[in-house]
Amino acid sequence: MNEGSAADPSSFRDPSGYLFHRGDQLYRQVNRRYKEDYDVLMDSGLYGELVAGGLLVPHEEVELDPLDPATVYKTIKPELVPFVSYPYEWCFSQLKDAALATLAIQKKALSHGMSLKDSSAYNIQFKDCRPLLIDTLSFERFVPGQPWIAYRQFCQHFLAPLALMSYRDPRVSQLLRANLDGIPLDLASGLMPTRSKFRFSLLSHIHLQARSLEKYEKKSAQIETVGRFSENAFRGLIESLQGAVERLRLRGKKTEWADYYEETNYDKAAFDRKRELVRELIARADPLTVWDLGANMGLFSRIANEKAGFTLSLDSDHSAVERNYLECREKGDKGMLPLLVDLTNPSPGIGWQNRERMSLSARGPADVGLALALIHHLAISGNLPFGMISEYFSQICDTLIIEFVPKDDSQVQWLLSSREDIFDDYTPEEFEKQFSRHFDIAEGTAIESTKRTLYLMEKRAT
Amino acid sequence: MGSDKKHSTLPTLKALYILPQGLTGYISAGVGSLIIQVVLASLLGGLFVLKVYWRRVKAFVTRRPYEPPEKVKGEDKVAAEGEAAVTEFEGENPVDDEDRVDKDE
Repeated sequence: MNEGSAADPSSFRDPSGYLFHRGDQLYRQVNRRYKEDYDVLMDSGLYGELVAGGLLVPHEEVELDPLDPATVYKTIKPELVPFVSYPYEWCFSQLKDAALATLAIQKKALSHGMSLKDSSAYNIQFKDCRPLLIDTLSFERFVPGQPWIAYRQFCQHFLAPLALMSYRDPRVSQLLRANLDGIPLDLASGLMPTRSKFRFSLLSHIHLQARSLEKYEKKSAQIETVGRFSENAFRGLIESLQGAVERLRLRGKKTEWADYYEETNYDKAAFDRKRELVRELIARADPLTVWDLGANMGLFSRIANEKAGFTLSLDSDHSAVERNYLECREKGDKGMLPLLVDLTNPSPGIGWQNRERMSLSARGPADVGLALALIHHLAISGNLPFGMISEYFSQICDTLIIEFVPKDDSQVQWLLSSREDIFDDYTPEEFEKQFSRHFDIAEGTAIESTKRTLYLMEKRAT
Repeated sequence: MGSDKKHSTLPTLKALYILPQGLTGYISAGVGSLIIQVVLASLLGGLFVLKVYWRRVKAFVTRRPYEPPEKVKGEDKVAAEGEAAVTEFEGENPVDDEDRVDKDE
């Protein structure tokens, strides 16, 4: 093994190749056994068409001492996406766009004599709010007569969670966090309402498939040979899945945060002043990456993104993330990524050895963390002591722009209205004391016409 | 038996054990998933052909250019019999020749 090289812990299932790191760069080894498929991908025009359409991550072939000379065919250097996100962090429309991108890729692959051999949602990432496939080795030469090998995976990773989010509740997407290979179809079928069976695509792709999987679970030995799955059947299957996904809609449901900007407790002048202050502090920090923690619909994320190259816009409310994403997509915002993350229970490391999918903090730190109108939710609703909040923030960002919301602020009073006030330490003095353990406080500026203060802090050198 | 009764809504599929040998890929497709695809094949294939012709009728009526669906490349007569061969020949689907004309236009 080469010095400073390490195989990526998320890349071990497919024997066609694997990702590895050397220094700060990520490479992908293409194994000899994948040679023919890789050559067809590159020579058939499929690679060029997908890259030109923004559906596949571009790469360049490089000359490099291989990690494993015995198996290497080529080494490629893929263009990096700004942030790796996971399906359980996506809102409904993100998962839907990822599903439709997968099917669009499959249709283009078929027209070039290839097919997707897997359809994992983890192979899709977002760049500038557009989904693209990052696994260059997902293609194989199309085998006429063979059904789609990745059909069940597509239904488990995309169709079933989307249908459940549409028919039941968007929060059901969190089942993806517990089920690494997508929501099992028998579980999805059981959770879906009876009326979903009156839609033929859901009846066939979820309910009947679940029944069939159950019935033939232990009967593989009985399967005999020959016959074919016609070209039209294959294309019909993809069209049917596409239609099923396209018809799924998120039912309108107002949540407490989706109207937050209309329901703030300060006037327009104060809000404008806060925006200018944030803009000034971001300019001073001059970040490449910003994580907006508790971003709501991303208004301040967009202000940060005017300066930053990439802004992660995190919120725990599905409706807020959905609206944020739709706005990003509509406006073509460059460098923005809204994600569904609850900071009181951030994404953990999951999968094999808890290393296959990274925790949120393992994907940081950001140059700047933006925590506006958030501290009272963590400290009062979440019962989190200031010291613990400060410690976690110091793990995920180097510079912190944080708004302190005092106890006599009407928003805090609203939080306290339904519970006993056990928060004697919720004071500006205690806030500064606890955050000073992990950060140097560069400045604190009162936001005019409010009781709030905006702080700029730098992480202390350890 | 309760469980047998539960499964009785699916057609008896012994005659449909017609899956190709030597499936490719590194993930488990699931026997039940392969079978349900074969069961759905005729219907989905038929609907697909209808959809293609419907698009052409619609294009004719609305006088807009016909946009063909993506074509599967690589099926020939040998492959149609179940051999895993990939060729440059573009199959015998009557729709295909029309697709080619439209693309050239």
